[in-house]
Amino acid sequence: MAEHVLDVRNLRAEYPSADGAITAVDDLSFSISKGECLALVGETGSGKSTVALSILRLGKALVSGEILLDGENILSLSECEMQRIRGRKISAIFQDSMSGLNPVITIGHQMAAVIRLGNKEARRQEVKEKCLSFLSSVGLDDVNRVYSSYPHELSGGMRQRVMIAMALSAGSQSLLVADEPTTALDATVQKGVLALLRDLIDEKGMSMLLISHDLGTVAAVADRVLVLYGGVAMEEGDISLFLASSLHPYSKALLKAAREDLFSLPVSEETVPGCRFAPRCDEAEERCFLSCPPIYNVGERKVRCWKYGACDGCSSFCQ
Amino acid sequence: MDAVLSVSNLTKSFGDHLVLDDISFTLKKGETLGIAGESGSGKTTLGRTLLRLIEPDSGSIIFSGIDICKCTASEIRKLRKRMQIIFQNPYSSIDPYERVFDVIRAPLVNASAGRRAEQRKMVRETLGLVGLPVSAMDKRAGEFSGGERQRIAIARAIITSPDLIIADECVSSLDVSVRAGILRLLLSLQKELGLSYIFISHDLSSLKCMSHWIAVMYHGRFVEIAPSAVLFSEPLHPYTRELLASVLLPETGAREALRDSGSAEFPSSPFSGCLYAHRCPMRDKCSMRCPQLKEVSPGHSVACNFF
Repeated sequence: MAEHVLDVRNLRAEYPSADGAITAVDDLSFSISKGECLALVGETGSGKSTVALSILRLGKALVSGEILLDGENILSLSECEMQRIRGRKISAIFQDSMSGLNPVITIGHQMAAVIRLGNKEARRQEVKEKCLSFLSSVGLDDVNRVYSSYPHELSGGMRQRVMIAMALSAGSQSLLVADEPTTALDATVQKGVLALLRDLIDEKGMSMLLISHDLGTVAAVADRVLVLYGGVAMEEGDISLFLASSLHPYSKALLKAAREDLFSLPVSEETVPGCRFAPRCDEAEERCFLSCPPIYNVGERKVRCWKYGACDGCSSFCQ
Repeated sequence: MDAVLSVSNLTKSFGDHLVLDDISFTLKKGETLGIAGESGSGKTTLGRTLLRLIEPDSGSIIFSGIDICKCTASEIRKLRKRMQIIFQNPYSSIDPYERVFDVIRAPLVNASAGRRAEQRKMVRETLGLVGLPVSAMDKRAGEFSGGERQRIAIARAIITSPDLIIADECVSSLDVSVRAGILRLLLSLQKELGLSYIFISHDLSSLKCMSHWIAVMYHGRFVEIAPSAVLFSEPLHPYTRELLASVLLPETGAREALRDSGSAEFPSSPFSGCLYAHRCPMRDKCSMRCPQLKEVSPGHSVACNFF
């Protein structure tokens, strides 16, 4: 069994609101091994980004549970200790590159600050060379111009590549959290960036939590996939099994929507005491609306659906 | 068939950077022209220039018989009712503190159309069309998710029953699971109301199901324009082929597709000749000669020295 870089146990994240707390993530457990990429997929509002922010201890959610990074529970760390971890052990890339960069500081200065986190004594020339090499490693062309540019002088695609370069430049990381890293990029550029991310996993043994709603991206980069719906894990398993024969009706619908033009899931505002997906599920039965299914193991995979609780092969649940 | 929009030799530059270079096309009533291309290719500038949100340098834009390049500001204001735009990012195109009712009725107010009660009725109907509950009307826009806000933006665009809608990456921010719903909605509105769309997107699968015609833009030029089906079955320009090849499908072979990608080099500063030459696998003397858009089969034009 490979060592786990990240172990999330019973994560629960709530946003306080005037009408009581809103649960964004409910009792979520997963782990990522060294050199592995786990993809979180799901629709807007499924809690994907909240998971990412919770792991970084950013965001406004009230988080409970355990997040073990290299065996250390980061939820019990002080903010000061957390600062040490961010950028060194965990790096993050977000979707919106404009808000990730300081608009009034040049790219070069912002990157230099990150590089100096890892190496305080570095000489200025050395830092600059490092900046330029990271910038060219993400496929940027005119690195000297980019180095001395302000964020608004670059295109969205270029800014996103700068963000990735910055995330990489912090030095030895255990975990890269990539929240929709290529959503804002062009298809021609996206491929290059994804290949770059995959190389980091394969060659440098980096672990990655990839968050994406694009199953094409997920299929290309991820080793395993975790499907979230309404903050709850619906299915977890190997990517190729997921693509070939997904288990949960929600996963099937997501894949169908990605593969077929003009297929969309029914929309429902209804909330039921049972399975959260039941109002939109075309395979839902009566019990689905009444009680929430537990997670069943199907081979190596996990699925939260009553359909798999019957006597079809998983003897432990047959009694 | 009458043309809703007829654009010829449209040119726009920002400083010495040519963003729109000699763009010409015609859009018929009830049809959709899809604009494909990567960021920086001028798609968005084209969309905004067509509404004169950006002033063109030269060329003409004939919208149902009127050259909008020659219109005065007040004439443009009257025309706005008939031409609407759906922006890419609903977080910045909608004030989160405004009530949804006020957001959606804004074009009606601009056009001084209807009284408040009538406007309320229209907003209610439009909300139904875009798949939002009527109760949304009195909430603030900020209470909605990105996807729902984009629906509000679409409601705002269709409420004046325009002839032309420019949809600038309007489904890019939506989930795949709901994206098709919006596309179907746009298609059915087109059928019912005879709307024409300029559908700007970098997502080829949405372009495919929305467009009658697709124009591929590269560095401010149309490098290929063809009926949608033809573009996908017989892409001619090497850039079009590169775009088509860069689509990642949610299938088991995606990892391999990522590996064998001749991952795009990034465009360096432009030079004379074909702007695509430095990325092009077919290039020969293309850096010397700048190709012009040529019709190779009926309706299918390409700007490449090889054709």
